[in-house]
Amino acid sequence: MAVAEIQNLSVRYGSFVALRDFSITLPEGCIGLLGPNGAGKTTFLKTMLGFISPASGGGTVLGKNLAKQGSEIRQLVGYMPEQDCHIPGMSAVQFVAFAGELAGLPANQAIRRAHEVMEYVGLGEARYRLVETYSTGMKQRIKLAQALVHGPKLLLLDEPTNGLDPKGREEMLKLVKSISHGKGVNVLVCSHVLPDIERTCDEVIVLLRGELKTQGKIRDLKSITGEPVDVELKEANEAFVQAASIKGLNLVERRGSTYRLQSPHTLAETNKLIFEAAQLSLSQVRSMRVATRSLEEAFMEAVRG
Amino acid sequence: MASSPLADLTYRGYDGPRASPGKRWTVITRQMIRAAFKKRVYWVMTLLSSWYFLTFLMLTFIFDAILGQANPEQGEQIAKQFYDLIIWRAQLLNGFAGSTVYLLVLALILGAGAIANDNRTNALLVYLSKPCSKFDYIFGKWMGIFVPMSLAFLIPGVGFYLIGILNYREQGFLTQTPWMLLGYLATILTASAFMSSICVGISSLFNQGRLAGATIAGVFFLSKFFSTLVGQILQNSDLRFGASYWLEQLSYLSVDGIMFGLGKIFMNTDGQAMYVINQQTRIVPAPNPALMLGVMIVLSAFFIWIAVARVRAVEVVK
Repeated sequence: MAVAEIQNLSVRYGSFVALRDFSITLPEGCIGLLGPNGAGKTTFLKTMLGFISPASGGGTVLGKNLAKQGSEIRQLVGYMPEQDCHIPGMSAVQFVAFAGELAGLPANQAIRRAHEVMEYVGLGEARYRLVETYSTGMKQRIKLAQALVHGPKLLLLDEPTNGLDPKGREEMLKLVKSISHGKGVNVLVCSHVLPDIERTCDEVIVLLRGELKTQGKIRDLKSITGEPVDVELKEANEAFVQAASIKGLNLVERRGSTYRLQSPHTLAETNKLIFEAAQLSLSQVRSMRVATRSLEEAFMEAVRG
Repeated sequence: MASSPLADLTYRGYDGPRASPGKRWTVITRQMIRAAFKKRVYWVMTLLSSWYFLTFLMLTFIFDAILGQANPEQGEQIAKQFYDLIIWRAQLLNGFAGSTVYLLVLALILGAGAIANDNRTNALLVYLSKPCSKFDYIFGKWMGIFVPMSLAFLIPGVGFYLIGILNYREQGFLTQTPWMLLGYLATILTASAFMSSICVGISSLFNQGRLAGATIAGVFFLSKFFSTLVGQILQNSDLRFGASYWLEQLSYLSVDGIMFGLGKIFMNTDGQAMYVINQQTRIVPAPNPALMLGVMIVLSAFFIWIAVARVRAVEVVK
């Protein structure tokens, strides 16, 4: 079942078009929303929450109509904004419980959930401190806690690792990964930090200047057409290149003692030809794997169009 | 993690009871009332706002007990003269009018930071990302100021009324104006509503509660300065009827003047000197009801409109 289905959505700020005729189907799981600054990522999240009225188009989120059922959607969605945000004058646990009450939880359930969620995000020891006194990393976690307290079916995370040191970033990514896998929570992570997306998400959506550039599973996006194979030899050997050429393998790239070879045959046949070329050139094969590109390369290609 | 008091630290979904999205303003109001009641200064202000009634009760105690015991005949006569002069509903109104400065202090405590502090900490993103509409937010904040402020003034006033019923029935407390309590309720509720609207509007303009507080106090005192000036002109001049009428109306055009003027209308009195002392002071008659109500409603609507225009989850760049 799709988490959200958006059709021909256009959002404008005055004359500036933030999202242009945007259609997408969000599948279940953990989805990364990628795009350079100003691509329309945050606008898309805020439109899903009903903060911004679309100029045209619409859709459904968790089966609820985007234009007519904003409140119902927000009851089922948790939102972790990019900016620091908290309600002043409250201790962390009061703040999270209050967020739960705002989302419709009865007061006793809200406070129980607040304690549970605070423990889960690793703020159990600091739960009675005022949020104002929290460090940046703790503020990120409390934002996640307030988004989780009411048990959302969809979690929207806007730059969850913003301003975090390496240790904090690592912990936050672990949390995001943990929530989005096997907990019944679908997660949409909005970020321009590609390694974060690669660590946590199964699928990505790439936005550029308010338009959808590409969408798909990360492993599909990283795969290269023609399934080239990276072959690592014990040491570089020119004779191996010649032998590969004789066997009908095409050299795509060479880095040190690693050769990227491609053939029009199936993967099994290509592997067989590689071993034959190695035997012919008396080369020792250290490793072989289907070549992939980095997510960054895939992203750049999508952005360049 | 192992030392945590909770054994199971994994995340669990929530499938328990959930209120339907609607009337979420009640959550905001409840939270604000709880926060107000926890503040010691709120209760101090509530006590201070009863100063007039407490002094009045002490005065009557002096007449009844001390003078009466020292010289029963003369004491009784002085007390009778005193009670004959008293217009009870006007004294109840004086109790409110004498404490408007505490109403201002309460407005600063309860209302100045109501939206301004949320603006500072981006709290709107938390409120509005939940099933809570802009109406819920603004109305919840408004009620969160209105309810504790009304209570702070109703407690002393209603207390005085109950004491009056118990002790001053023979002095005409009930027979003089039977509906006095209703008039007092209307006075307090209208004043609190007016003050809450001002707070919500001004608070939404700022990112700092202190700046919003300074502006609320500025509006209060500048308008009071204006109405006091007009009041002084009225006291010291002998104007013709037409000019006098309009100056009288103008003398009510301040934040506390509007509240006091509406109080006179609801209590159906032109007022009376405090403790019936200084009867020489010229009492300005009650203002024109339509004019005063109109001004109050227009100003309240204006301040609420400011809040509606300012409160938004997304900064729209045009």
